[in-house]
Amino acid sequence: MVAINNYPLYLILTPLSVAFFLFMFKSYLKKVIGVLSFLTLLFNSGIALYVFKLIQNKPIMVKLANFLPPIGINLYVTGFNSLLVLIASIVGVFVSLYSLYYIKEGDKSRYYILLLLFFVGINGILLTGDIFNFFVFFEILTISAFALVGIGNKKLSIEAGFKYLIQGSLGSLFILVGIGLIYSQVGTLNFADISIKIKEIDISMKYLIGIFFIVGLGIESALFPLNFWLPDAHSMAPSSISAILSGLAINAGLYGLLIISYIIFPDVRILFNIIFLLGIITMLMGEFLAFRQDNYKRMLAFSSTGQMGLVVISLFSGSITLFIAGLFQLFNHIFAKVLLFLSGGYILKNEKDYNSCRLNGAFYRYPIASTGIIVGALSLLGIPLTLGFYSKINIILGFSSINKVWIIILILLASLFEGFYFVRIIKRLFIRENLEKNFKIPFLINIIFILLILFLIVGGIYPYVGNISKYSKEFLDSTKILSEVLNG
Amino acid sequence: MADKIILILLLAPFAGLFLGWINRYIRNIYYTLLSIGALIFLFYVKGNYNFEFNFLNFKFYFVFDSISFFFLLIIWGISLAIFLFSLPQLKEKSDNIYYFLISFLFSITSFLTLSRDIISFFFLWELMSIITFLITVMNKNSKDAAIKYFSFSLAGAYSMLIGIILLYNKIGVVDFTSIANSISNLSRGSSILIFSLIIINFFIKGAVIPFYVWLPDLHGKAECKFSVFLSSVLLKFSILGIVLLYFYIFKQDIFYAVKITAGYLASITFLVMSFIAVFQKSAKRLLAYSSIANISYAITAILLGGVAGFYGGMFHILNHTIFKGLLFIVVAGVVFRTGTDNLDELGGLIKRMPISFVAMLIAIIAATGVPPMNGFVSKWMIYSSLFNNHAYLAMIFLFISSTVSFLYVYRLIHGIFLGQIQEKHLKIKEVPIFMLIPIIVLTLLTMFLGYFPGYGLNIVKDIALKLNIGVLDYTTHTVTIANSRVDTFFIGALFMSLFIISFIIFIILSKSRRVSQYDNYNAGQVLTPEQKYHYTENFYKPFERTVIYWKIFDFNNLYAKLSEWIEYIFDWLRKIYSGSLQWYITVILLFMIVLFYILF
Repeated sequence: MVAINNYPLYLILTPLSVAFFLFMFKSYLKKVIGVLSFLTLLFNSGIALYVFKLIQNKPIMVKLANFLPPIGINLYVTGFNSLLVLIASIVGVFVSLYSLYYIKEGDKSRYYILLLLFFVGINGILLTGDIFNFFVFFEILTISAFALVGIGNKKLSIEAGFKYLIQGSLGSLFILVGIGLIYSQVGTLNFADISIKIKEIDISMKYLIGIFFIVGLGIESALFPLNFWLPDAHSMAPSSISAILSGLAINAGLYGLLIISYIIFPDVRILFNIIFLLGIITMLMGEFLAFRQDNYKRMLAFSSTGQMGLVVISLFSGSITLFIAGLFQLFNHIFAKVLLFLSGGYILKNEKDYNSCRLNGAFYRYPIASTGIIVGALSLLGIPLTLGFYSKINIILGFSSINKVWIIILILLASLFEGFYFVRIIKRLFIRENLEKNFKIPFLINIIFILLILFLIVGGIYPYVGNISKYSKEFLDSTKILSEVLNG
Repeated sequence: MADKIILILLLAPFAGLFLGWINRYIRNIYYTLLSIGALIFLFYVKGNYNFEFNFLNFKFYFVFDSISFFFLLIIWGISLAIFLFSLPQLKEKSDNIYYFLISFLFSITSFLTLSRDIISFFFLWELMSIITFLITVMNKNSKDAAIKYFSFSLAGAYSMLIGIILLYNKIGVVDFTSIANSISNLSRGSSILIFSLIIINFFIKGAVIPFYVWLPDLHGKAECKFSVFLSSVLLKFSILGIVLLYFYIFKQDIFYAVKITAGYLASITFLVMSFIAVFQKSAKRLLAYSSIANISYAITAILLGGVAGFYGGMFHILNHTIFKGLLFIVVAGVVFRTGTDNLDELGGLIKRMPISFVAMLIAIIAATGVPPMNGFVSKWMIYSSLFNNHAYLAMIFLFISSTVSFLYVYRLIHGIFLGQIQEKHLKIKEVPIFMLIPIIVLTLLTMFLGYFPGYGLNIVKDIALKLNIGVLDYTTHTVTIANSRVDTFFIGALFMSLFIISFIIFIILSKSRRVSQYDNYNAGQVLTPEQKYHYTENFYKPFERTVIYWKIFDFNNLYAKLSEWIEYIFDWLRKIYSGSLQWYITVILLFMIVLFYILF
């Protein structure tokens, strides 16, 4: 059974309407535009929390204009996507608060409007119940991301944004072709309806659709031969944007890939295997290449692809325990990478150089930010007492239980190189060089770091699984759940 | 009850963190009292306790037994020594986080001795490595060494993880006792594979060839107090691992060739390391190589020496903790007073630091395995066990290594205490009282266990009985191995009386005249005060020229080459991200074509 109410709709409408409002009155609101977007995202996370609370009983469906699903547009909220929305909103709050101090020059109004649109895109992708709106929100997300990457107005960041634009558009094009193919075959765009009708179509058609979606969404979710945009975009964007690109944008792509795979071709093993294989290559390539980077943000960018590879192989392995472990790894990656980008980015921006040697001695100048870097790095590495240990050991035990020891060896090989480069960064923090403080880190930013550190450590000591396994089971049976949309 | 103790152990270091904000002396006194409390508690609770609890949704199996007792004794004894030793140093700028991490490390290592299931063992093992890394990376000198250590340690931990995952995959239980019960179901191939994968980790921690390269750097460059921990405690965890793996889990039932290979790797290690130690300039680095050698004696004895080998090896571990801890503490005291551990820059401190000198003299007598000190008994046991188990080659290596160890310990004591004193060291005083306490206690322990090894062997016997290894014929002051019997008290008394007699003769008959150290001549040429008659540089040059071939065992170059190759390959891979948009689009389209090709 599904409950019908309109609360989830505000998750999309609030940032969207505020963005328009800010755009119209931006000349009057120059001083408060940052605070307003922060408050919007704070409000949004409040709604997300409320929706997440409502969802504990049964899924929520939002029907627009009172048309029932196969015809009307709907949002469909389960435990799984409302959890992701909640996490995205929390990250949004952190990032917008951080931006208040971080974005000092350039056109602030443009930055905040795009930031709000970015969150419209994220929430839309996660909540939508039909595939065309998925595409629309995906476009909102990616286009605002292209613009945000280039917002620094420097030559390199514009170039990076342009490259991202071309490759992202290519991806969107493929997604659109895929959607067109689906529509030509089943004559509907609603996920629930598709999931029922898709069973009758030809397997080779599924292959074709699968290829278009794997390539299209693979570009956004940073799978290996498709992730060329990522290092440039992550390293050239402002750190707050790198954080949400790495923490949220590629995860939105992954969510798309996940939902399409489980709805369109849940029974086609070969497509799953292709994604799985891509995940392994992505993981290894990401960690190997990050090993050779001196630029802090570029290193983190490659590390993101490596982590995404690990998440992809655990989400697409087809085992429920691995799926849950993969989700934890995803959460771990979101929080740890956001923490790394925000803390390291703040120091390095003020040093005006993103080479990691500028971090030398940072521990003695900015202990909290540096602790953030250490905890984030250790959590990504999967060191005990951080959330990363819990997720990684469960991934490894999960692969052991499905007798794929060779994958464990590859995961550990990747982790080994990950360890090497993170350890180098940690070493830099303790080198006693340039010990005079050039700037101060504001109190509120330190609070952000502390909250993220606490999340990673408390998660490592007391990982609250709660209903996540239930949500994951629901998601893996999405066909069954989705049929409720049509009935109720 | 046991749960509460665990909680106290875990939370106790954090209290120190808060105390440190109030006053650093209160903090260190607190940590000292904590160690004393732990030691008292340890003797109070002796016995067997099992406790299981849930953590991270896993079941952790912790057991307090004789194995834990042995290692906990080492940990908290050394902890007490280190914190006592640290008290006079606090006048300098000291770090709250540093002491917190050290104390936390003591808690973590204590848990590790209790841990009896694969998940918690891996958890604590990795935690131990990372905290050690953090402590050493914070130090000024040991940053690169810390990275080297952590890289090896991570590789080792992952090798062990693959091993235990295979074990878990084959057997399906996590606690060691259940695994041990069904270990015989493993096929020979997988048992060899698992054993090798796991023992690689312990060999890395125990610095066996070819994995030793991290240790001399780390022990040599870490902060002095922490070197004591590294050598006396951390290194012993390789033994804990081997005991748990070989005796507890595999019940000595492992393919003969694997055992022999592992044992002989360790014996080659001590042979080579003793030679390398001779040529060191830094006192701590010298002791580091000596530590590797000593740990390898124990590993060889445990793997190749049978029952007596187990007793001898474990007893040697206990002795090594004591005498090597003592040596490191004495060196730390010298560094505290003089600011250097470079043997070329020291010398002649005997009259300035007489107690330290006597302590070091006794410790090096123990280290070389000469009666009447504790090192003699354990080394004798290792010799006899290797001989009785037909590991003659290992015994010959041990013999050579022991002989060479005379050279390096003489270099150590000569470099620091004998010869002529440097001008700048004339005003040096003996170390403060709090540093003397651990020195004196450890010196007395070294002598006591040399006279009455039975008290040390009692602790080892408990482990041997627990693991069904067998019994050894010994009393408080005699040890009997296969018809050969040694009475340490008799030997000790003999040595002592000879020493006293010769000392009396020396006093009565000597016609020595006290002269200033500058009152000397050299073949008619008068030396000015700047030129000293005390030479330390290139002390063993002729010897070095003779045995130059040890350099082939310097694996540093090999690892440097390896990392160069890896970097070269990765740099090559990096070229895929060329920065050219046309190339990127081409690859995306090519990838799509490949997908079409695969699927249609």
